[in-house]
Amino acid sequence: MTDYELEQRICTAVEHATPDRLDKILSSCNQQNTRTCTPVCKETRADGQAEGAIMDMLERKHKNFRWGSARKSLASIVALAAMFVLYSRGSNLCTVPAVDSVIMLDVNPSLSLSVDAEENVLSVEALNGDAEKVLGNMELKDTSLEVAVNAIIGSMLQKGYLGDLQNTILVSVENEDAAQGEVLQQKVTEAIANAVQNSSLDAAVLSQSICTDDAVLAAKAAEYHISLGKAVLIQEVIAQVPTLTFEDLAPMSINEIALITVSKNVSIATVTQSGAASNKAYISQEKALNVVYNHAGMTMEDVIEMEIEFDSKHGTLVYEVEFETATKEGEYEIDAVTGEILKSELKNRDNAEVGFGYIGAAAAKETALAHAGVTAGDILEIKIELDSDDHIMIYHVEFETGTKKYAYKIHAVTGAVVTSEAKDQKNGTSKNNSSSVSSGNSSYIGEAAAKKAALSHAGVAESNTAYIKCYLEYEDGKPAYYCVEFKVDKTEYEYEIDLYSGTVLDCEVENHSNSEKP
Amino acid sequence: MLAFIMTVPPSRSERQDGVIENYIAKIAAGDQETLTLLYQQTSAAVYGFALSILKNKQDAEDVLQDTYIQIWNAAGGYTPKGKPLAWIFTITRNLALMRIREQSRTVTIEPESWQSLFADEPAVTSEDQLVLASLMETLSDQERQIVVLHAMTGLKHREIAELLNLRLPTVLSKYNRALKKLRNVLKEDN
Repeated sequence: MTDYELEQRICTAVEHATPDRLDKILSSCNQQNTRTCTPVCKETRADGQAEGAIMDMLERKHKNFRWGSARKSLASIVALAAMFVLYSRGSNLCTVPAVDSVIMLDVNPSLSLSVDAEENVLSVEALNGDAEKVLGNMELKDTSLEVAVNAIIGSMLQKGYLGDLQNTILVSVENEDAAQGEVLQQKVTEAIANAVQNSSLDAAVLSQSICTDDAVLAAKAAEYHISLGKAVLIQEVIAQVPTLTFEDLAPMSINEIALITVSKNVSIATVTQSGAASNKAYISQEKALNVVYNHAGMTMEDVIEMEIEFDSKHGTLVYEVEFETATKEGEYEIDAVTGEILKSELKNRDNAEVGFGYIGAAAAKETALAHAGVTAGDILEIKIELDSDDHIMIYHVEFETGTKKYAYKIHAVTGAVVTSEAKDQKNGTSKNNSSSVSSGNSSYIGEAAAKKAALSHAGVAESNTAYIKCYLEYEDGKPAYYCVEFKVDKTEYEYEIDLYSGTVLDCEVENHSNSEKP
Repeated sequence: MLAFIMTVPPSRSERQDGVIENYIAKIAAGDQETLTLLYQQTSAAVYGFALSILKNKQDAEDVLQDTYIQIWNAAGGYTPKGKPLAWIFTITRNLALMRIREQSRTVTIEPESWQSLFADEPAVTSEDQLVLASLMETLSDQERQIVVLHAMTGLKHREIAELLNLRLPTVLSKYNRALKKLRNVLKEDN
């Protein structure tokens, strides 16, 4: 049976065993889009509204959007919107009785539009200095929502608030009527698409409907000069990533927040996204890692585990890098724009492992040395690695004294010696122990004899081999046979030799290059 | 049981990567039909990889489901780099490892139960059961993951090494060793 035929059998078996979860997946995807707010009666939704006028994606993702749990009266939501505008900015642009919806746009500029039931703009509120620059002398009152959005987005493009480096816009809609909220979300998103279609901008749009009477959150939004919609988004993000704070995210652009949420696999069911946030303003992950490697005096080859994510440090976008080598673990924060190291922590893995309930590399080493009857001063070379072995965390401790080589497996939690091996470096004979086996068996033929048996069977002289290696193979934790591997020209040999008699149990001759598929 | 019209063929080409990336772009735009297509073409590989990590049928099924939900949610953030399958299998691996961490221990099924575990699945033949049992019982965790990824996904050894954070020589060695073990076991059983 060739490698390819064997792999085909594996493919077939797994394919046959794979369950059909498609319906559940599709159902779950639909449910995720409806999770934000409790359902209202489907009958309230006007059939056929906005058909064909909305981007396909939004059509699909919004089909099941419904308003929130607390069904407030029109008066209460209008009052909330009015209070927010009044208290946050101290101006009185909002005519309370006529306001039907509040639409908030956040890029870094944050602004809020109040519209009536006919989608005419009643007022526009700049929530921060950047938004004031965007609005300039524009008079948007009494224009249609679509015209106002077009003008605002156009101004953001012209003034450089939107571009290749920052391409993400958050649209938040407050409206008591779920169906109307959906329509407005879609209309604003479409208006944004129209506004950027003649530019080179590949915009990303996050959109959400919000329904909150959280006065504390509204106050925070006012404090940071952002919209209530952006505050709601931030609240959702920090609920999923507790290491982030409101203060970390509030100063950041929506583009940066979007990069962090993607990087940290944050999924917010209430937010619909089209397009991807731009990462062009930032150094690449590879560059950030090179900064770390250089500072830590290591190479990529040393890394055992590594995680790199976007994060926020006091409002600055950073790469958060965490890694482990065989002996160390590090945590870095790299400024995502400049590549400057903002934080660096490098410590021996020992400490961190103890924190996870492992005994630590030092204790594993001590256990192995004590078991071998060797002192630290006798060791010429030692390697300690933490790895999983059939879901059990094991310290692999290998060391040499000049006359012997030792290999230990130490249970990472209990510190028990799982297996041990001591090999004489002069003649290659070895002793093997395992927790389930009695002490080494001196009646084994030894590696030299095993090699000889294999070479003899193959009719090959050791001097003609490109390499030859011999080791004990274990089955169920017990030594089973000697495995002898060697290569002559392009031919690779693998032998299994009986531990006691030196009999050839199995042999395989193959071309190593066949292991890659055609 | 869904009839798998297509599976990711062993010999993967750049064109196929392009097709999958195109799928992801459409999924990012909310296209559930494309999500269905992606599922039909890759679910066996995703399930096999999840099973190879978790060694638990129910957990692997859950991770299979969660992977595609995650793809649906995260597709908008996918940056095309010509490695869409690596992206998908990284999601699967992360979900599987998360599940292991959550459970703090993996529920390991006794070796003798692997064959009977799929006995009531009509599509799984007795030979399939034998192969699955051999995979689960004979190979170490890493060997199993490497073999399943190579067999099911068409990823090269180098790509598998990157995905599993292993060195290429380690992957090659474990792959060859694992196939030999499987061959021996299947030969015996035959």
